[in-house]
Amino acid sequence: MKCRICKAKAVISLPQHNLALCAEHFDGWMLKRVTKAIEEFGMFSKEDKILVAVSGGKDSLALWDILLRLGYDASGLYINLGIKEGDYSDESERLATAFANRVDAKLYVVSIEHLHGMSIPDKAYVKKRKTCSLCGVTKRYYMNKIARDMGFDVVATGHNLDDQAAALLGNMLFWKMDYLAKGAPYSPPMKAGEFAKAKPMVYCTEKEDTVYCLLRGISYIDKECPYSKNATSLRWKRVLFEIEESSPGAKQAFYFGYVKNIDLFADKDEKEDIPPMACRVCGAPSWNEVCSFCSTWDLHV
Amino acid sequence: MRVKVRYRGEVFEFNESMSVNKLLKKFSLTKGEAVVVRNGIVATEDELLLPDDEVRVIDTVSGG
Repeated sequence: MKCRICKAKAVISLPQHNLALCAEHFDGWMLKRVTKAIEEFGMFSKEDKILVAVSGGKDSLALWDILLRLGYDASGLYINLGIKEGDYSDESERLATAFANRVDAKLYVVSIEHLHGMSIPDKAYVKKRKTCSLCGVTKRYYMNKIARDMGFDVVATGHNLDDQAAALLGNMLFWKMDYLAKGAPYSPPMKAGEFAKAKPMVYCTEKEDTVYCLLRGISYIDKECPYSKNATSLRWKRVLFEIEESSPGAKQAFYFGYVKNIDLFADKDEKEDIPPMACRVCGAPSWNEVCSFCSTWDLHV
Repeated sequence: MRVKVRYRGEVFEFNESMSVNKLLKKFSLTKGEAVVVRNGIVATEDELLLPDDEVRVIDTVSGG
């Protein structure tokens, strides 16, 4: 297969775009895809301070690399969850740190064990909670806290098209209307002075992010989180891969068709979506007197 | 002379030359789920894998 632009050897075929590209033209194409998402959804500008949530995986490292290459002011945040299986958390941290050193960018590192004396899996065990749910609450809390404390304008995550389409499929199968109202690639700040949330990789697929990292020589954690092995989102991804194989472009049409029509899922009662109070322990915006993070980590007792 | 393929920490050997596409099918993978690297260079699905080629299959899927 040859590059559609220069006829050199292609490294990737993109049947959903009726395209094949060589290494050089694929690289430029990735930068354009991320730029398209940023501009189309008005995510941020070169003046904004961006915090990239970095897991050590291919998507977030590719995102950080691309943002820096495009000239954005992007720092990283790595949250060490204390997952010991396969040295998962520590290896991810080493890779995130190595990348930050390579690009000479600031990386904030938060260690849950150091701060709370217990890893995420151990805390989940003690609290009889699902590890992924406790992990989600904790990661969100620290992303929000660092963004607020350090004055970031935007938190950017590496969610790609496959992630978004899989989440959409899962939410549609069970008609989770609350989630369906919130699946856009960009969420503006809750109020003035707060930060926005953006998913600039939303036009890129898992495969494109993998090839980008390979071509750029970016080392990333290639293991799955040991707790995500039976995650339902992986099941939805597999179904969508099958569909995409026989109908190239279906995934993009599915997700972006939804984004175009997302207002259909808006809360008809127009309930206030901003937490009404501050947590009495940590002061973060909260729906209850004590926020779910402080309650989970027993910081209120 | 065999095609040597590394995938998920294991080495698989095949007696015959085959396309990347056919290799993916042997592992029950769709094109979006894996990247194949042949002799250090990312390969497209139509490429032929030949005896003595060093081949790596890399999963693309992550997340939970």
